Amino acid sequence: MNENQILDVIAETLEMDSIEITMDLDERIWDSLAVVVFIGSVSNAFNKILDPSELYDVKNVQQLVQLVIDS
Amino acid sequence: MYKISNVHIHSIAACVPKNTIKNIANDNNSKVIKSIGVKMRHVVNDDQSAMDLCIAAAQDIFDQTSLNAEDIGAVIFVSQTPEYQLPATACIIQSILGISNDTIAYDVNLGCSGYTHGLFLASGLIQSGVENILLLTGDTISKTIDKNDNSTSLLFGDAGCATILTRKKNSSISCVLGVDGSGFEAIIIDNKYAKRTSYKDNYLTMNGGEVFAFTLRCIPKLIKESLSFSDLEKDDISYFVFHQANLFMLKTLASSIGIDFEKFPVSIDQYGNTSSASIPLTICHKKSIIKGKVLMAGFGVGLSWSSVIADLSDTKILNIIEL
Repeated sequence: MNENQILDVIAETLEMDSIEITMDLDERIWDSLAVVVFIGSVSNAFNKILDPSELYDVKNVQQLVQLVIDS
Repeated sequence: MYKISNVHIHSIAACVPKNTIKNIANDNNSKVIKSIGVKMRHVVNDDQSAMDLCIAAAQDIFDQTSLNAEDIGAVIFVSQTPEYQLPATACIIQSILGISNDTIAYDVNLGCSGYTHGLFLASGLIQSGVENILLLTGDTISKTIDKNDNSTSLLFGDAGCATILTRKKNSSISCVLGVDGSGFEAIIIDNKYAKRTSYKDNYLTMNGGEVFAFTLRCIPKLIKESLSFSDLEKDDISYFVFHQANLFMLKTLASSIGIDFEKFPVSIDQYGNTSSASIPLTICHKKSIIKGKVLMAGFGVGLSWSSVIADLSDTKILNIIEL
C-alpha cells in the first residue's frame, strides 16, 4: 500500500478522476455517505477497517492518507 | 454456537403494504440512492401496523399449508414497532388468530438480527417440547423516520413475515449469536418513558459509519465461524441470505468474505431495508431460486448479530402478499 494507491481509493470514493494530496475536504464532499463508502473501499482495497469517529473529523486529503497508513 | 436437532423450518410467508414510494433521484440524494440501492419501498398507511402485516402473513400460511392456528404451541413476535408499549403484541396476535389459550406468547425487541435470533429462540422451544412455533418478524420503521434525514428516509420499508418451525427427526439448524452493547447508540430511538434528563425526539437515528465498521469487523468472522461450526465450506451453501442493510454494504461484505455476489439474494431494491423482516422477505422474493442449505445472517441494532444455517429444501415458501 502506497500513497498513490490510497489517493486512487479516495478519488474513487469521491467520484473524481484524480485527487491531489493538498486538497481540502469540506462538508460538501466529505459527508457521512463518503465516510461509509470510504470505509468499504479501504476494507476491499487494503483489508483494513478504519475508525469512523476519526474519519468524520478529517479536514483534508493529507490527513485521510495518514489515517489509512496509521491504521 | 449451537446445533439444535429435530427442528425444521416448515413454511415462510411475507406481507408488505400495498402503498409504495419510489426513490426519485435529485441533486441532493442521487449518491445516497445509488449507494443504498433502494429503488422503491412499501410503506404502511397510518392505520396499518407491523402486527397487521404479520397476522396476514400467518393467515396465508394457515390458508395454504396443512397447519392451522390450532396446531400452534407458541407465538414469538419480533419487532421494534410493537402495537403498544404494553401488553406484548404476541398476546393480541394469539387472540386474533384464534390460537389456543394454552399457547406461550411473548415479544422480542430486536431488529436487523431479529429473524435469526428468533429462529434460535423458536428452536429452543421445540427442544423443550413445543411441536409448532409461529415466529413473526415485522417492523414499520417508516413511522419512526425523520423525512429530512437522507440517511434513513430513503432506506427503510415496512414488512411483516411469518415462519412456522416444527419438530422433525433428522433435521437440524445451527446458530451463532453475539452482541456488543457498547455500540448501542449507533442505531437508536429515544424512549420518553425511560430515565432521561432530556427527551430528544421519537425519530430513528443511525450512525452509518459506526454500523458499517461494526459490520465489517464482525460479519466475515461470523460467517467463517458458522461454516466451521457446521463443518461446511462456502460451496456447500446454496445461498447467503443476509439482512438487507443496504446494497453497498452487502456487496462489500460479499467481497470481504470472498463469496460471489450471485449467491447473495437481494430484495432491498424493491422493498428497502425492512429490519427484522428482511431475511424472510428476501427468501419469499427469491423463492424460485432458494433451495438446499442456506446461511442466513442478521446484524445491526444492538449492536447484535446472528446466523442460522438451515436446509430449506422441504420448506414451503409462499409468494409475497400485499395488504
